[in-house]
Amino acid sequence: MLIVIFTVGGIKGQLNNISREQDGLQALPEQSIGQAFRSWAWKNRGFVGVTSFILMIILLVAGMWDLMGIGVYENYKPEQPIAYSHELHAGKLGIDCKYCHSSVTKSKHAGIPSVNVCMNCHRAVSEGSTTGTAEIQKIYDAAGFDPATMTYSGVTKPIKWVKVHNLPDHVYFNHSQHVAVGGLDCQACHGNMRKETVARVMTSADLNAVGTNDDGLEENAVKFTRPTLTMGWCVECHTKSNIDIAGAASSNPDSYYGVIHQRLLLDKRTYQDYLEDDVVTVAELGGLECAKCHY
Amino acid sequence: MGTTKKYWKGLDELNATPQFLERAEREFPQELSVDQFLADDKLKESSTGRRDFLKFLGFSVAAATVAACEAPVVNAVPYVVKPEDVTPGVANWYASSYYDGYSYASILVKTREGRPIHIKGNREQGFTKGTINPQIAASVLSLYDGERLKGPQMANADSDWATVDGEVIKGLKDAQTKGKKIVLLSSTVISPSGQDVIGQFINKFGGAAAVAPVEGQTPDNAAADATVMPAAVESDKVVHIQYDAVSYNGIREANLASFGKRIIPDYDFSKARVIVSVGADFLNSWLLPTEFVGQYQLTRNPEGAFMSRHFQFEANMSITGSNADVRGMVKPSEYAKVLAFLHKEIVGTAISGVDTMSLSEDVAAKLKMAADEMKANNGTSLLVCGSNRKSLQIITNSINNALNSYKSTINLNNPINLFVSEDAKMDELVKDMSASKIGALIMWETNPAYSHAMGAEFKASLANVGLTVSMARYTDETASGCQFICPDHHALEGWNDFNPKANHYSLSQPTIRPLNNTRSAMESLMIWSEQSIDGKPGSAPVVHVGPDSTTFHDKIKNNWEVYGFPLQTKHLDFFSYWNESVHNSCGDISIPAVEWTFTSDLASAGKDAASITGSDWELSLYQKASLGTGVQSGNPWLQEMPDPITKVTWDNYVTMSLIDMQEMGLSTEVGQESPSNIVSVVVAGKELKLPVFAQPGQARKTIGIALGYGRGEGGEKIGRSSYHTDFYGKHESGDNGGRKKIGENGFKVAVGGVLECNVESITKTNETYNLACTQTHSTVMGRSSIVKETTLEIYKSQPKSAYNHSHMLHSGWNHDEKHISEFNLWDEHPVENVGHRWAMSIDLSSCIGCGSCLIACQSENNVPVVGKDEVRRGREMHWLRLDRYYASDVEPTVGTRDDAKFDAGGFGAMEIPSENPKVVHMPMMCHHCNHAPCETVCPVAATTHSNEGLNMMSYNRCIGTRYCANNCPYKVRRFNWFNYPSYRKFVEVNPAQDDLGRMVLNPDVVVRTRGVMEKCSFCVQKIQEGKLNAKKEDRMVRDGEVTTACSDVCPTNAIMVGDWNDVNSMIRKSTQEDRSYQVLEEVGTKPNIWYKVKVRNEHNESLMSIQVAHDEGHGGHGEEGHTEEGHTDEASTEEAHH
Repeated sequence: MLIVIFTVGGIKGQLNNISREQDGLQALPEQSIGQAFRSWAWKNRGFVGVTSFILMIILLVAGMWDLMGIGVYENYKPEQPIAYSHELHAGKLGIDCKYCHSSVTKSKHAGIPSVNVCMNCHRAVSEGSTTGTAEIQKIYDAAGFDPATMTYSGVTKPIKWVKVHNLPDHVYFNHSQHVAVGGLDCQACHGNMRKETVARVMTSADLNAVGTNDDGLEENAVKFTRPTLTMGWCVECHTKSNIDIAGAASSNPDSYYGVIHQRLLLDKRTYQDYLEDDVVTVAELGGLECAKCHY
Repeated sequence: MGTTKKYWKGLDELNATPQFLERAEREFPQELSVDQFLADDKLKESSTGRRDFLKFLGFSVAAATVAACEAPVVNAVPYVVKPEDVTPGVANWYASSYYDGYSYASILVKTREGRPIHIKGNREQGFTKGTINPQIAASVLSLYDGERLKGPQMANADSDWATVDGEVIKGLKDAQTKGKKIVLLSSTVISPSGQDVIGQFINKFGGAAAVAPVEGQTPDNAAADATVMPAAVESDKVVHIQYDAVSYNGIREANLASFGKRIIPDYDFSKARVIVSVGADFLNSWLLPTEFVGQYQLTRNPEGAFMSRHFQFEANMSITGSNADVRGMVKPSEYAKVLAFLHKEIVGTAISGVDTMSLSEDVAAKLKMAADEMKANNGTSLLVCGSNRKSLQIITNSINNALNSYKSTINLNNPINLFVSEDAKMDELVKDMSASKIGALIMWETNPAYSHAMGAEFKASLANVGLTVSMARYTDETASGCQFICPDHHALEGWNDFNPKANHYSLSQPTIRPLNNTRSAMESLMIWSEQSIDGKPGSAPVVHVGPDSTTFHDKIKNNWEVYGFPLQTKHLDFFSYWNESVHNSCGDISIPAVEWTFTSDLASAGKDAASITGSDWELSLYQKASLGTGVQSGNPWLQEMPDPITKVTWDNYVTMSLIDMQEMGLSTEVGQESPSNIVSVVVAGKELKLPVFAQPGQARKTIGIALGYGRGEGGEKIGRSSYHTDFYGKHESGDNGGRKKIGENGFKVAVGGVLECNVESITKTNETYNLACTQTHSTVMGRSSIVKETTLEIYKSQPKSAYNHSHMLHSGWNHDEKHISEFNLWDEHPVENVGHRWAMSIDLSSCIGCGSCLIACQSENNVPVVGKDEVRRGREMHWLRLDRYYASDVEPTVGTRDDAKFDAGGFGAMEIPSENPKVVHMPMMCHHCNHAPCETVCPVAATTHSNEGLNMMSYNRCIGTRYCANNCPYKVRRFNWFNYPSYRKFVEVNPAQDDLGRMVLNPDVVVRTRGVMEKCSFCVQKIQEGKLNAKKEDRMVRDGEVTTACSDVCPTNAIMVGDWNDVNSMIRKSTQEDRSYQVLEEVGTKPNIWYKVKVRNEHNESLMSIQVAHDEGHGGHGEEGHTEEGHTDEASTEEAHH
């Protein structure tokens, strides 16, 4: 476009000179493009000033917008050493997520299943419906298993999976807090894995869509606007999730939350402060405090 | 997407390419801070021009930006077969035991994904009851020391086990055929299985036929278990010499004379109402402090049934002495006089020849008081003596006998098996070696070339020995002179069993697969002497297996089955017995009590005691809480730990009385720019050149020098932190061109294992030296209400307002007196009612200043090591510091001080401490103020307050303005001046920060980078973990369940943590006690840490009059307009910094 502008500008200048010659006037001195531009810009300084100001703003905003995307990995779906399919295992076969990701209720890590977990089934299942024996053979190689003789050689070769859900640095996240204590279902943050092959970082749109198109899953109570695996995403859920203080305090008064919530109920002033918007959220109980996740 | 990620794998990978590395090395002054960079003269010689520099800078900025946009591909590699009890992300704790030939303790080792990362005491099992010391806590870092030997060595070159085994066996047989002596040399072996292996080794090469177990006959040191392991036959061809760097030969010999057995009895400080120690630092280094500290603490509770009175007579200001109620300063040569005085007073008979009249009036008065009290508490008092002289120990025994201590506070029936050291045998060995009488010498857990007075002779005569084998973990001073080095495992890598006290057997288990190609020392002995696991004829001898060897484990298990299992009745099958033993790590057996008769041999003891002649100057060698005997000199955590008394890091020095220093014209200041003078001390014909440090409480004309320094005289590979580093982090080169050792080796002058020496001369040299001392760092601006102390008498007889007066303000029209906490500048945080409120209480009466908390904190929270140079600049990073306050006898308290005199000298005059000050140890860390001054000044809200009362620090938000640190009245914030984990200056000398050392990091805690502020987080990761565990089990957090690293490790339970909002919690009750106060409460910070007034069991007339008068002065109405200046509560403590 710049070329067109310059060419047109050049032609215009020549035509101008021709017309001036025709008018009997002295031709304007030859100007370089730069000089021409400068004199043009000076003549239209109001317009140029405003336009460039707006352009600057647009560039800055676009730049900032772009920077916001750094460290956002929605849709990240790297190739994995084994073409594992969640669709088949969790979807078609209906295996519970926690069967393989068994430490999700105990540890901060959900855990990638060790090869011996795979072998629980694949000792018997040596041929897959879509990939045949090739992919399952990779499990056997890792476990040092010979399907022909049904024996283990003892020579093992750990599988190097590519980590998909990479938390931003300096964050502590604990799966068991959310799954075992908070009672969240996996799809709340991981979307409907029953329709995925290898793991993918779901987008917040994916999470919002869970349960809306009849996939048999419960719909998420919190609708997200921030990209997944960013702090904004965490904060969004913590600020929007409500807690039934009185209910928890009375249903099981000796439990952790029973005792904690009773303490809050006794402090009427603070409780009323929290209740100003009619709900008590995770954030109000300290769910946004820095040292809950950063230490 | 995948491909682009793989291409860019992040800056890490980019850096790894040699080209990039090379360029980076050349161009970027990244090792230098700006001021260092500008000050560097070499800069002018730099080959990189300004333009090039800018080009490279531009490139790297661009490269870094692009790289930062793309996350590196991270692999996740799960187990192939996951061990059942390992859950990634959840720590496993293993019960084990620690013994390094010096300290013993039952411990718990925390491992994450198979890596040991933290050690604490085991409170539930063993007689140490959770007590450890800084060295034990720090030993986990030594595991990851990159200079540990990677495999066996032959002639100081790498070799393999098969070759080395072949050569060693050949050498042993050679010695056997030549009829030369084979010597096994080690520190004390308290492992029953180890003793069995050694016994069989002796049998094999000693030529004796296999000996059948002798029923009922036990070796002296191996307890009275009736079934019993065969005793080693005495052989003159093969001998096992046990030699300890610090010997307790004197006690053993004295007991041999007094009771007929060469034992060290078990002491019970918890029963003692009067404790008198003559030069024994029993809270830090003497004998078995891991046991004594806990016992001692039980008697130091002012609310308890009784509070002991502790007298200490010593030359150096030791940790024990700093805790004493009454401390007398004597010269080491006067220990005999002190004991003779006590003997005369208590037993009634004078020790002939010892002149007690020459003791100073002050000491004599204190001794008289001690003697009277001991007599009054006959049967509940205890006298201990730290000298290694037999004669002094005999006198001690005699006094204890007269006091009936052997029936209560000293137990002869359950002797301590540590420190068997037979000094005479060791001296003979050195002679035999130089006379070429030794055919083979095998050593482990010992380093005589360093730790023996004749170390140089020992090392030189190694050449005269046919076969020399060391099983040291490093190529240390001794090993470097040996033909073969067969490295032993680190204690956390192998199995072992121990018998530290007659009735106590314990196990240590591996917590990691051996990192290097090392082998248990006992397994090596078994292989060389072709032993089998069960030792029965016909069983196959063990062979070398490699890192997964179970040989010594099998041996131990077999021994426990054959000898241990029959001793108990609880378990019916061995399997459950063994499982329980491993699970608990230890168990007790019962020892039948025997009557002992005391034989007094005072005549010869008196003769020897009388022969002790002092000299003008005398030296006491002592062991520091950090380095001890120097076994872990390569451990940067220990090197950087400020000494509990002097607060000096990284160094060895001479401690001297201030007055003596002034007389000698030595510089008495310690500061960044005030170097200390170096003096030349000549002892036993050997010269030690060390800087001098002014030590309040040091007896006149005495000096103290710490052992454990001066390691690596020949620049041996004993760990990088053992050596001096220069400004840029490289090792300084010493006189011999190699690395430069730190300080001097005190063992050189400890002739005959006696640590009290006469000094031949001490002269000032022209040289000076900078010590890195933290004692004046982070001072609290002369606000003297920080420490409060009183005496037991006042505490029992006076109201709280006398010894722990609260700060009251008058307000309103009628001038009502209100507690300061009722005035708020800011809105209240809802911490007091909602959820938890984590709080801590620190009992100043209990804290002995051992320093374990400091190391535990460092280990738990990934606190970096900064090196001496940085400490000197006041940039130490310890989140928790131990403030040590000296209290002068003359108090400049308002109303009692002489104003005219004070005005002349001002606070400067206060800095001259009295000769024998009182000491208070005070752990100081972030107070988590509910009205935190730091939070209000942070421009980016990087430090904020939680509803649980925690002052939270978000490192990723911090921009490093350091306003918070400036505004903190407690001075507990630490700034990362450098990128400590990867800046070469620190990485090169610090095993904690190289690739291997990083394995010790706690994965739950962030490693901070340059430019951010950090501070104590109250171990928020542990709080969160405790809460989460409670939530998962659907119950409230149990009282005492949540701990911080410091409270967890505290041997005296001085530090207590809990949920203050739980009205029944221990912490709530503790903070409401009369002794509780908050530091600087008058500033209005409302901290979540309480301290408890230190109570001393002493008579202090002046303190009594001050505190009582003070209380009466306030009676009822009080004064108006209390200010900090006019209201110095505590009367007897002033900070004496100099």
